[in-house]
Amino acid sequence: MRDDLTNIYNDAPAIFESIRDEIEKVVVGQKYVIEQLLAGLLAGGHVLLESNPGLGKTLLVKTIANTTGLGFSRIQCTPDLMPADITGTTIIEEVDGSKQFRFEPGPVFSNIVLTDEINRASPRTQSALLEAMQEKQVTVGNNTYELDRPFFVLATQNPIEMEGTFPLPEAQLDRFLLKVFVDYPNQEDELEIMERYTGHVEPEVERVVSRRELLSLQQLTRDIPISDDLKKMAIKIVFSTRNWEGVEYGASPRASIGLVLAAKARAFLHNNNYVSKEDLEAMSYPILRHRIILSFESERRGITPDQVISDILSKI
Amino acid sequence: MNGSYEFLTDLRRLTVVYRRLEKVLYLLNAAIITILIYAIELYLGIPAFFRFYWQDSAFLAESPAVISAILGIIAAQLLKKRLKSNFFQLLGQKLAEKTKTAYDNRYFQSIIMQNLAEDVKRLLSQVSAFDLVKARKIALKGKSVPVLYLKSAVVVVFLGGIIVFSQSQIGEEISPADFQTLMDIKDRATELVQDEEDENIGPSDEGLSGEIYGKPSLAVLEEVNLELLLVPGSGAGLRAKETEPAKYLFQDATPGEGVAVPTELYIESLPPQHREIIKRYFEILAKD
Repeated sequence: MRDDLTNIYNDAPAIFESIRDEIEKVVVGQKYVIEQLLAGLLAGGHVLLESNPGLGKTLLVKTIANTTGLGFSRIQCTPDLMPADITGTTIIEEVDGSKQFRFEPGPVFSNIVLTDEINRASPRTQSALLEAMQEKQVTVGNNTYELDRPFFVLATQNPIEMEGTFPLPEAQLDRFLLKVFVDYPNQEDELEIMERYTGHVEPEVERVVSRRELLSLQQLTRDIPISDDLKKMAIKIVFSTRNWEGVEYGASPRASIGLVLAAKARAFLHNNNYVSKEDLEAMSYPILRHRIILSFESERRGITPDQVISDILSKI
Repeated sequence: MNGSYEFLTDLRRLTVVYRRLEKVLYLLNAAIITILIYAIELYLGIPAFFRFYWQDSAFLAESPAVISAILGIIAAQLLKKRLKSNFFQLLGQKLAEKTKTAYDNRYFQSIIMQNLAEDVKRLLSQVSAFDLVKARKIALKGKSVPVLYLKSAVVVVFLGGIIVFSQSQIGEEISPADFQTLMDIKDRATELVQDEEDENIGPSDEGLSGEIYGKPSLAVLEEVNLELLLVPGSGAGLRAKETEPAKYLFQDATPGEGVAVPTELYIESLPPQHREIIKRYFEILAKD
């Protein structure tokens, strides 16, 4: 196993490069978003993608799933989606003339679960994801089913068309390791997208990393060393969110864990064998932005969580 | 600095160099501050005064220098505590981060840690003691200068300055002889106090028959010689005495017409044997 890990560690830069190359065959630009998604994947956390419609969130997630060769399922959230539609349900079937119950796994039983427009699902359905996301298991009736590893929820939501949506409760938001904003492409990228998707052949991606390799990479990510100073800095950043002016509720200890893990993942993706201050600062935004609840006054003044994070980082 | 990684050996080597460098910088700081304080003392003439005043005690005579040194050491200590330096900072940001991370995780065994340790060892082995000296820099007029060189230069310049200052005209002007006047005043004051104690008599006009009374002294005011006479009942030895306020009654009177009344001639009040001489004196004076 050790030799295997060593080989994978030595191959890691090439693996990351090939994943990026494959994704870039389909997704134009969005390097930052790709990096954040891969960081989430390496850290073993879930990612919430937010953007206006039509920016390729779903395409990006599907592409990542295809490059990794992991089991992929998609849940299109609507207000009438039931929890059982996600977790699965027990059905009665006839075997050898007798009827018996059989559990039919839902789409959550996959490695990569794309939960599209998660904020359109009812709170009841959203909460069905809670156990799966945190415990990596599903309980149906009296039975608990372990989810396959790696388990990675990529949820998307758009900030417009808020009618008929159910904003995610804080408890569920906290379960997402990262919240990533997908921005509009620049003119050059948009031209490239237009050319690529108006031709006869649509790009296809190849599987470049196996499930086993991905699990090893996740293990190696946790082994990336971090200095005591940076650990203290991570704690300081998270603590600052709790008593910062204009912040109603700050980030939980889960954010401290997430920050260090995500920083490790970023360092690994940048082919570094240690976590730098830059990694910690860069990952502070996607880690903290959905965990900071601003006060009414701050929201009225148009302050965003990202501004608060910038402020905190500049003063630490 | 325990641990099995090889980079720790290089780290140990550099830490020893760093500690020596810190000691040297600390001593240089102490020297600079000591020289500065001593220069101020020298300018004020304090060392010369001490040498003159405590001629009998070598330690007390040189106490300004000792005080400067003590203050210099204290200030250097405070400076050391305030400007906490960090060995890792001297390695440059990237290597510092790497080395610090490797050092903090020196008990942790993993492939990545092994890789980092090898990386750090390779980089640290390229760092010489001279690099550390050069790394400790200070910005001076837009240029960064190694602190060790700068402080050494400052010490040399300051020491030279002190030597030149003590040899210069200013230095010569401030000599123990300048304090002779002070010593005279001190001796005089001591004598007076002694006299007063010996006499043990309260202040009165009759009792004061000291030498200073009745003898004219000479004062020069704007190049004019003035004779000063300290009359009995004034000057040192007298103390202010509170008395009851005296009440004077004034009577209103109407002014009358002035009538010339013959008075005794001044000459008649003089002793007969001197009258002629004084008369002649005033006649000559009138002519002049």
